[in-house]
Amino acid sequence: MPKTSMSSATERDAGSPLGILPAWVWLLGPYLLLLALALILPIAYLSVISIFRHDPQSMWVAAPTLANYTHLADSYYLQVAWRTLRIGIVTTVGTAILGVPLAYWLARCSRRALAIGMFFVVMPMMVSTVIRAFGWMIILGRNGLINQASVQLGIGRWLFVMNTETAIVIALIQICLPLLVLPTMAAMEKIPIALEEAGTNLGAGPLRLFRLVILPLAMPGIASGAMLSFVVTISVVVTSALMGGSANRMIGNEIYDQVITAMNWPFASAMAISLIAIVIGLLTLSLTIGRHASRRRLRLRS
Amino acid sequence: MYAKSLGLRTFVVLIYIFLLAPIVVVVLVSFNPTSGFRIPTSGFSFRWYEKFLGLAAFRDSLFFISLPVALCASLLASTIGTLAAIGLARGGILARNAVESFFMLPLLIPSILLGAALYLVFASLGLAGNIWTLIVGHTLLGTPYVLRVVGAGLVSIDPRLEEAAISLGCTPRQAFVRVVMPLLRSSVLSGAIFAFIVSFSDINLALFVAGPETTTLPIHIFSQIFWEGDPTIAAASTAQILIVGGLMLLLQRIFNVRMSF
Repeated sequence: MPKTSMSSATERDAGSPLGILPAWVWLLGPYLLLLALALILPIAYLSVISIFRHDPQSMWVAAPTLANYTHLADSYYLQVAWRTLRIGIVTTVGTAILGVPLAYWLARCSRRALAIGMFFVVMPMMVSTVIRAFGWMIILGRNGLINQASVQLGIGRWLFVMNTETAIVIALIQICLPLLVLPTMAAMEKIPIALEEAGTNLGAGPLRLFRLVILPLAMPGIASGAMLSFVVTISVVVTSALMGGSANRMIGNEIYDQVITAMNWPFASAMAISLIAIVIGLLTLSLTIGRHASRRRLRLRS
Repeated sequence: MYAKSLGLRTFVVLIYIFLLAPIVVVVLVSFNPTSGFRIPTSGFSFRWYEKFLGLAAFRDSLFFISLPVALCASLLASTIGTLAAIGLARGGILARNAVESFFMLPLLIPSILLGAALYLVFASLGLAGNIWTLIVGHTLLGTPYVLRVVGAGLVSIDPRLEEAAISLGCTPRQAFVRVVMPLLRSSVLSGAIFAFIVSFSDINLALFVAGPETTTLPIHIFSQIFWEGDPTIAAASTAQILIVGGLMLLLQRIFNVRMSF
């Protein structure tokens, strides 16, 4: 009944100004307009200028060329792309190793602990990434808190991690943890405790139980969290600039420089479009995996 | 079953330390009486907060750019998002799941790409650096959050309340406006707070879209980290953390928002 209530109301009020249009037009219209003008149109514009020629005066000349994309195959950009992918993979794996046990604990802890635990997972996620990178710089820097403490203990400075890929990965794992924990926890909550008890009764130890029962059932959640983490990681600008220094630039830094400093819009667009293609490819892949997994689960049940 | 095992608990505590360390450290350093990045051991000082509020560039980026932009973006996002959530739930839309995932697109596309794309369009139109470009971008980022929260709110309202109102003589529209809308109020407010936070702490989109006249607080902090070496940045960051943390607490305590997406 509620499903048709809006449309029947609209038919009745056909005389009022809002009633001329079907309900969904003025309900969904504003957001559709925003998406069309601020998302679809800009990305379409990007993909068009990515095949135009660069011109220092007018930014681009409408002369179709693939030069911007072939330029991406330069050894320098291949190196940047490989570094970005490497950091993305290491970060995602690291996030999963830390995040899955945390998600399991959240899914199984008391209600009181859950409220506090969730708050301290989501609150850090909402603090600006630049502030979190700044915090890591204070902790890990040459004269950072860890080195200050060890100087005071008489060990001297030993931690020289800033401006390396390791520093980027540490900061990124902190950024990605909530993104992985939330969907993983949602999936684990749905696993009945009876399954764990059954597994234990049948002689499985905690690790075996985890590997054979929890992990497969939580996989859709872990996969979507990991996918999200990977997408965030490969498109990062601020974190890599602050933690990695000038020697560890990632694709995001190159896009930023081409747009703002070098003002080579066609080339920047080609990079951005390539990155979007990777992201959309990953999204489709994870959707297919998710669908496959749910079909398999259905088969198991029947 | 194993949630109470000592091994898991220790691991969880360590992960929470890891998650919170960069934030706690920034807050502590902001109270350091000397100009180094140290955790104060011999007394607290507010001098970096005085300096933060005394510097026009910091103050203006917070009060004249970040807060107004977040407020406008949150108002726009909560209006647009609430309408869309109602439309999705009650509009009898074909292929609802497909439309719903399409509506989540701004969350899935990396915001630096959105920022770059928006900047190129605005710059071509001669509008780059305008405060409205920031507001439009942040509205786009915030709307999916409102959609999720209000959508969940709509699902949780008992349909029998609406049916009761209709059987008592309301038209379906009256029933929706008088019964469902008041029940939806706290979801809409929660969505608005989320949209506010998203805008207030965004840096990836602002990095491209913000101009020299529209430097948001995170952007100003970012540029100062490269130049400056005193805890004023920590004080500015703490102001950010306190506002975001306070709003999150409000969401959880007052509005009982379930924090999972």
